[in-house]
Amino acid sequence: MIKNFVVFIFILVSLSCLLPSFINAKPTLETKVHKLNEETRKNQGVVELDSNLYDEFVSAPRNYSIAILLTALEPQINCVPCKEFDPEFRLVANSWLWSGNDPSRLYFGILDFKNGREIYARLNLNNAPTLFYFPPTIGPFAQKVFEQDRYDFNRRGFTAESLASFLAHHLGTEIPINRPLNYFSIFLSIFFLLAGLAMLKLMYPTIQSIILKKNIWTALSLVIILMMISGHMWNHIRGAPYISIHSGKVNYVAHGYSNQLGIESQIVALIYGVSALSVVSLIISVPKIEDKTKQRFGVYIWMGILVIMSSILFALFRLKNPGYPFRLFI
Amino acid sequence: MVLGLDAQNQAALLKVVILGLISFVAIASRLFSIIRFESVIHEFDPWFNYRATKYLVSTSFYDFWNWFDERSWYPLGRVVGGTVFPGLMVTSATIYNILHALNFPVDIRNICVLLAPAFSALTAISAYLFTAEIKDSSAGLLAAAFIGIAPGYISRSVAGSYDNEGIAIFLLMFTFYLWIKGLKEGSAFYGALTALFYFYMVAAWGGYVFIINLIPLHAFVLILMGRFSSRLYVAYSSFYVLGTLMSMQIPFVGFQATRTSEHMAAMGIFFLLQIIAFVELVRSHLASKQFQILFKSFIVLSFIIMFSALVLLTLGGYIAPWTGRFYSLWDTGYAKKYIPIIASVSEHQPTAWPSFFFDLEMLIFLFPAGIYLCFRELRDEHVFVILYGITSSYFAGVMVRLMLTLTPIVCVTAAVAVSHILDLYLDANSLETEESIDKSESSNKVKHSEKPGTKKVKEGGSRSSSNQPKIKGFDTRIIVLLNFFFFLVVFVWHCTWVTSNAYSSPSIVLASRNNDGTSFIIDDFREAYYWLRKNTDYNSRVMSWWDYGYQIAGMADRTTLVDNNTWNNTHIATVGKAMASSEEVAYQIMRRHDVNYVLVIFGGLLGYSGDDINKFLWMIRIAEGVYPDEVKEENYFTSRGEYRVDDEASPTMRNSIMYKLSYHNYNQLFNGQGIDRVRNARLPSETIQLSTLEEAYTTENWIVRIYKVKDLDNLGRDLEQATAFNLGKKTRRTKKKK
Repeated sequence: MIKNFVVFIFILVSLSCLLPSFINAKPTLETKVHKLNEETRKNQGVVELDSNLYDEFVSAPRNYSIAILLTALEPQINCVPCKEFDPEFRLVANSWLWSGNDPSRLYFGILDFKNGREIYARLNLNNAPTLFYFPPTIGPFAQKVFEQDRYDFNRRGFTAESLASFLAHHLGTEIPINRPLNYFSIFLSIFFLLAGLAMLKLMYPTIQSIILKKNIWTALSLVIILMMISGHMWNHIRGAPYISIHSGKVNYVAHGYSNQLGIESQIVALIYGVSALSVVSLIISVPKIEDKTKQRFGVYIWMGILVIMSSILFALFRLKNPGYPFRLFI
Repeated sequence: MVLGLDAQNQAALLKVVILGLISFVAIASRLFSIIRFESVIHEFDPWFNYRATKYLVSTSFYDFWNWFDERSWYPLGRVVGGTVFPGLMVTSATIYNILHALNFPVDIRNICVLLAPAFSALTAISAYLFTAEIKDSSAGLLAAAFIGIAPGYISRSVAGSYDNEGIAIFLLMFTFYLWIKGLKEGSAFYGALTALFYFYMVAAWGGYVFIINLIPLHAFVLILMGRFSSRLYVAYSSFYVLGTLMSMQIPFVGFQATRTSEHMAAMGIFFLLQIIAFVELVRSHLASKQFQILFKSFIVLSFIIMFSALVLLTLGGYIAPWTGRFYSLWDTGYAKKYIPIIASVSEHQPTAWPSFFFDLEMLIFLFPAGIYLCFRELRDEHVFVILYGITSSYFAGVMVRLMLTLTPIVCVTAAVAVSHILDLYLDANSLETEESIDKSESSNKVKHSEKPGTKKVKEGGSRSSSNQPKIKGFDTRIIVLLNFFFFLVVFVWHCTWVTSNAYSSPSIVLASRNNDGTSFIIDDFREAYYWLRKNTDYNSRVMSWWDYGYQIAGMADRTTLVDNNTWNNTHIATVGKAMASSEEVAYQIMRRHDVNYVLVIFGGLLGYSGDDINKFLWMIRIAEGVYPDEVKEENYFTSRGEYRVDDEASPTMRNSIMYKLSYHNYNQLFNGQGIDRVRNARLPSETIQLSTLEEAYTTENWIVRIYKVKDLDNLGRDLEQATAFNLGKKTRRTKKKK
């Protein structure tokens, strides 16, 4: 009996929720705001939309701003930036609720592709995520421009802070982002720190002997230097691809003088390293060889390696800079 | 016995002669631009330095110190005396005054043009001194020869490139030499000299921050290695105290030397050294082991306290954090995000590997070898070389322009490596057949065959003793020597080729080749600036993008709105906004800033790619940073996100005055649609109408285009209407004539 009653109430409530969108073609401002407030409260600041709700909330008049994220979270679409951006968007929405501003000034809506194919088709959208900001058309905050503004992901980026600054610019008020503290990761890092310190204490003699080893420092310094002089920082800053595959052919060397690939700089570092090694061997290890014939052999080998390496280097440089006039064998 | 001198004196004489020849070569290889073009100041910044030097020479030092330049940054002006590194100007003015006191009437321009080559000779000598401290004088001579011709250094010191770096590299090397010397001898005298040259460096170049961080780093690493000594204490303390006091005399630095993070490391190490010295003193009087532990923990504790005090003071705002320019060296994404004006400069881009090879050639792979050899000996000065090598290779990787600080240490370490090879394979004492070796050496190698011999005299026979490792076969010696001789020769060819082809263009005069191979000089910049100088009022204001500010001030002698000093981002953004907006908006901005002429650089006719349309995106970005409502980068792209100038160009792009000024009347030149040779684009066919600006002058190859800003209309119409009216009348008249 009671169970039936609950079901009945539930049906009534859901009907009353659905009713306005069926009956009223043009919902009034009050109902819209009411609905938005309801949804926002329920869902930590975010309103889940479908095509009908989208049209409803976007249609003028609006005395509120609304930021709508058109996204595609379904696994089969596999939109990685959508998944990345979703928590950031919700973070901004939540931060807005707690920012101390009147929450009814700005709402946050999410329209997933599965619920809003018509909107995607109508707006001619080919890529997700897309974010629109709709300014208010009436009310104290209304401005001259009613057109929506599109958030430029490529330029502004995918972080909550950049979205917040974009919205803050439109609203004229700051949205401080409160990232929830990740207690687990803090705990984890403290644990590892303590564990590390304990390890340090226990293994101090071993670590000390490692730290005091000159060879380790030598190797470390040489690796750093070789990385730097072969353009590692360029790869790091420019985000160079490791190799490029162009029409089925794998390229190891990028075109252009001020351009390079990840593997290219590693090749160069290797060439530098081997050349330096052969010079060092000629200076240090070869003279130590007592036997005359063996020594001669050593000199020829290392000298040969040095010459081969430098001719490869010249050839590689000519690839990068075709006007370069010098060459060595190759 | 040659010339009646014993072996030691012969060696000294040879060294002097060789260093003299190296200096000569260093100067001579920097003169390409004078021979090809003429004795002229290059590029952008040198023009300001030249103008300031002229001002200094024509007035007094105190006038220069208090110089307020009202002819730049109109209407704000610029306090030059307090915002400039005066070392360069004072150096040239001193040389000028000395020469004139000796009755040599040399023009100040020639002094400025030749200053950098002259200092490169001094750099070679200080590289010699530095390397001689690291290894020996034969390595020193090699290092001097390397740095004399290494393209990485020549790029900033050709004749005419009158910039701070020209003298700064000499000061850098000499300061480091004095520091090593002071540390080796524990001498307060050398410490004070280090401070003196550090002061000169502070006066000359912002890169002095490298010195004031590298020397403390060296001291710190020495302490960590347990190499604290009274020598270190004396050298560092005398350097730090005197150096800091003197550097504070430069107005541009002032109290920064005690209040910004760049200088905090030096101060912290100074205090740390005092504490350690105190502890060492006490320990020498106490023997108990407990006390040692106590004092060690005292040192660690005070280090931690100092560090946290530094953090607290920084947070509290008493110590300024790292300035953007230096901070962007650590956080490489920082500049691009927050300071587009720094990121927009091409010399602040990261370095791809070809640049390293281009600037250093074979030295680049001798560099790690030399570092390894330094690790084998690892005296105090070798630690310095290693630290210098690691830090500067990182900096050179992050910013192309810092290749300049990497070059000296690469030359030094490469010289160490090569001279090890030569010592070993040329060792005369272990040779059976001496004459045949001599034949295999060419003239530039004679010096090395002399030196091992003399060195042996000095160092005693320890090296040439029979159990010392050595090369036994004669053929192996020959092959290695020939090979390295060949490498050295190729290095010289490479350097000459690079200098001649890449680094000797003055960039205000361009050269190209005709089809028949004759060279063709493009002198549009000077043509335009001279036109401005001769045909406009002395007080007229010229608006252009900031790159050309110094040149306009220097060559045309007209007031500019913004220049390469870039101290006021808002003002630059305003100019960027004017360039990026439509005629009406731009006209208002120009009227408000009393602009009389607008100057744009256009390379479309000639294919000169460094023109304003290619720089336009940076103007938009910088303007958007300040006026995000009025300028939006995306509006300048096509719907597919392309940056185009042809039919598909976005309307905002086509309405911007930068676009209009660049392509105004360009179609008429082609009798139809103009073709832009830089962007390989066919222009829209409609003619570009200007209503608020009129073309005043366009140079021979259209590289510089100057427009005059119209006055307000006499009848009170707005200029667009007036132009339309005039056009209408004209067409009617022509019709009547028919």
